[in-house]
Amino acid sequence: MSVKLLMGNEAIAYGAVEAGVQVAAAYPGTPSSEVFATLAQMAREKGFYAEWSVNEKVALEVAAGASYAGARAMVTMKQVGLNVASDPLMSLAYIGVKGGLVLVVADDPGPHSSQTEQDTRKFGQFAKLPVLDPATPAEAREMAKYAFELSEKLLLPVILRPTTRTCHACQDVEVMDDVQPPEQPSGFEKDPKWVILPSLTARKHPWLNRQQETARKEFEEAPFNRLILDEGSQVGIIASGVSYNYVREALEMTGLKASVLKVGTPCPLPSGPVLELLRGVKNVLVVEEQEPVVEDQVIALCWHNGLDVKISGKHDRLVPREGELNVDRVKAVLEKYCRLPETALTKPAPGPELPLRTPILCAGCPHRASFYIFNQAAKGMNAVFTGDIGCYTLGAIPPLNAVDTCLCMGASITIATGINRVEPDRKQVAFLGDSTFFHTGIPGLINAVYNRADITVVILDNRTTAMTGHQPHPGLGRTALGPAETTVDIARMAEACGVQFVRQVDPYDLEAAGEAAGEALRYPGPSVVIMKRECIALARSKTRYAVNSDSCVQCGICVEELGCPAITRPGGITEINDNCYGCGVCARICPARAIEEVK
Amino acid sequence: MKLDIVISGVGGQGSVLASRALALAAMGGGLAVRTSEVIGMAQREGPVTSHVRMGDELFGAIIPDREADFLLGFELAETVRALDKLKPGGTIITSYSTIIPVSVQLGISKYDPQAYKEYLEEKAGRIVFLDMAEISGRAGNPKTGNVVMLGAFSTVPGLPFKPEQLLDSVLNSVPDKLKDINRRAFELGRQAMEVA
Repeated sequence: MSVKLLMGNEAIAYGAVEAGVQVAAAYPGTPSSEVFATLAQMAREKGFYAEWSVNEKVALEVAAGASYAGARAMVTMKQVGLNVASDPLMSLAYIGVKGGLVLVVADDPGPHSSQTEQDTRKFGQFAKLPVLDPATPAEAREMAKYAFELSEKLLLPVILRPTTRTCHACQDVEVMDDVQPPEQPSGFEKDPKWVILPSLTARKHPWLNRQQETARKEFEEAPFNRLILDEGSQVGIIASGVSYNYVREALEMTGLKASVLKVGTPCPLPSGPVLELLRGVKNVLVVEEQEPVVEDQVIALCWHNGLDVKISGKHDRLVPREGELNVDRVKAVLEKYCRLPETALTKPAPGPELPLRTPILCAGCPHRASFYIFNQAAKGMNAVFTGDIGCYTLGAIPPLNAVDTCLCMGASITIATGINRVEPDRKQVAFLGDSTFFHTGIPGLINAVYNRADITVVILDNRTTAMTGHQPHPGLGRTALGPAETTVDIARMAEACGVQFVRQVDPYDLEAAGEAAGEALRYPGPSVVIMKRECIALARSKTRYAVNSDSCVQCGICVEELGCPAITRPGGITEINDNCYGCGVCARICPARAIEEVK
Repeated sequence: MKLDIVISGVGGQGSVLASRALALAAMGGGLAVRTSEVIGMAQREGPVTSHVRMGDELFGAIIPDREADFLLGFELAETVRALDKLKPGGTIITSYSTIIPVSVQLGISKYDPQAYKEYLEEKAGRIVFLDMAEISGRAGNPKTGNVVMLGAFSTVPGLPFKPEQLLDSVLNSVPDKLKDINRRAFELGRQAMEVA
C-alpha cells in the first residue's frame, strides 16, 4: 500500500480499479466528472474499457449491458444526470444485474454548480436500491470496492452517493500498489429473466422488496457505520455522510458530550446500531444534509420498537433542509439543541463594500461573440432567447443579457418550441452547446421539425464539453481512450433531422455570422445556425489587441456591449489587459477603429 | 498539532495547485491533510476559496469561521471577502494586485483598493502585502503568482514542513520545462518576505 493525496472523485476511481472494474461509462457533470476522468486515464494501463457516453441514460444502459455479460461496471454522473438515467434505473432494479454494477451519483447541496439540491438517497429509496454515503475521500474509496461486492451479492445496482465536499475534497488516502487484472467476464447468457414483461415484473417485485431486507442485514455489519458511545450522556447524535465530520468537530469546539452514530449506509438504514443508541439515550438528534432520509427511518424504528425517545432533526426545523451544512451551522444546531447560549460570534461590523464578482465567460470566449451577434440581429424584435446547460448559461449575466430561460439539459429547443405555440409571431432563439446537442438536443430538434416550430436553434459548437473540464463528444473524432474512427457532423445531423435551413459560421467573423443570424431569424420554420469556434481554453492565443489612446473616443461601447474581462477602464481610460486572448471582436465593433492588433 | 490555511483568489490564479502543494508538503511531514475547494462554474473568473487543513487528527475539509491560522490572498478584494475565516490575531499574506471584475467596468459595483488595504491592516494580527503580479513577472511568468505566494508563506516560522519540502511538492506538480521558472518564483517570494 502507498499513500497518495487524492480528491474524493479520484479515490472512488482507485477503489473501482482495485475492485476490478471492467467497463466504465459516464456523462460529465460537476461535482462528479473527475471520477470517470481518472478511470479513463487508468483504463489502457489496467486493461479495462471506458467511454464518455452521450448522456447519462445511455451511460447507465451501456454499464447495464456490460453487467448482463458478467463484467463489473461503473457509471458516474451528477444528481440531475440521474433524472435522465431514471428510466433504465427504475426497471433495472426489477431485472437485476450479474456483474457488479455501481452508480456513482454526486449530490451538490448548496448548490454550487447545479439546478437542484435533490437528494439521491431519496432516489435510491424510490428505486429500491441500496445507497452508500461516504464521509471522506478515503471512505469513498473503500465504499467503491464494497459496492461491487454488495451489488453481486444482492444482484442489484448499488448507488455510491458522495457530495461535493467528498468529491472535491482531497485527503491522504491509502491505495493498493499492485492491482491484479480482473478475470474474463463469463459473457451474456440467454434467459427470459432479461426481458422485462409485465409478468416478470409482477414476479420480481416481491423479490425486489425482499432484497431491501437482505441489504439492511448486510449493512448491519458494514464497516461504514460506527457507534461511539459516551457513557452517561443522555444525548445521541446520528450523522450521515459528511455531516459526521461536522458533528465531531462541533462537539470538540463546544465541549458538548454525546454518543455519536456515524452512518455510511443510509438506505436501507440498518436497525442494530440505531436501536443500540436509541436504547441508551432519551434524546436523539439526526444531522444530515438535504432530506430527512435517515431521520424518517429512525422515527419509524423508534415507533415500531415502542421506544420513548424524542427524535429531533429536520421535522422540528432544527437542522436546515436546504443548503450545505458545515461546522458552523452544525455547531449552532448543537448549541440550540442542548440549550447552550449560542457562541456564534456576532457578525463584525460590515467592512468596505466588495465588488460583485460572478463567474463570467472568459476573455475571447466565442460564446460572447455569438450572443453579441444575435443581440444585434434580433434588435427591436423582442425575441426570446432560451438557454441551456453549459458555460453559455453565463450569457444571462450583464451586459449580454442573452439568456431568458434555462431549465435542464436540452430544454432550450423545446422551451422555445412551447413558447412559439403561444406566441407564433414572436421570434424564439434557442442556444445550446455541441455536447448538450448530442446529449438531449436532438429529439427536441426532430420534434421542432416534425411539428414545424418557427424557431431558430443556435448550436454553440466550441469543440468540447467546456464547463465540466473539456471532455470529448461524438463531434470531435476523439473518445475517452483516444482517436475515434468516425465523427458525427453537427450540420449534417441537423439536416438529417429534417432542418432545411442550416448554416455553419465562425462567430469571430462578425459580418458573415451576423448575416447568417439575420437570415435564420427571417426564415419561416425551424432554422439552425452552428457557431463553430474552438474553446479558448484549448486553442493557443496567437495575437492580442490594444487600445490606441489617440483614436479612442471613450464611448465605452466595447465594455458595455461585450463585458469582456480583458477590457478595463481605470480612471475612465479604456485599456486592454494581459488576459486578452486576441479574438478581435472588440476591434470589429469599435466605432472609432481605435482597437488594434498588437504586432 | 493542527494548522488551517485559507487561500483566496479568482478562478485561474492557481489556488488549487497551491493548496495541493501545501497538503503534499504536510503529508511529507507525516501529517493527515484535507483540502477543499469548489470547482466548476465558480471557476470562470469567479471567487475561489481553498481550504487546507493539516494535523494529527482531522475530520471535515471545511475550515470553520474564524478558525484559520493563515490567510493567503491572491487578489486584494478576495482577501477581504475571505477574512471571516481568519481567527483573531491570525496572519495574512496577501497580494495587493487587483483583478477588477466586469461588474465594476459596467458601473454595477465598486472596487476600492485603498479601503480594502486599510480594512485588512485594521483586522489582521499580522499582515504582509506583496506585489504578486510584479514578482511573478520578474520570475518570468505572471502565472507563477501562486508559487510566489507559497515561497512567501514558506518563510513563516514553525510550519510543520521545511521550505524545501514545499518547493519540492510544487516542482513535482508542474511540467519539467516550467520547473526553473517556478523555482525562481518561489525564491523571489521568499526574498520578498525578507524585505517586507
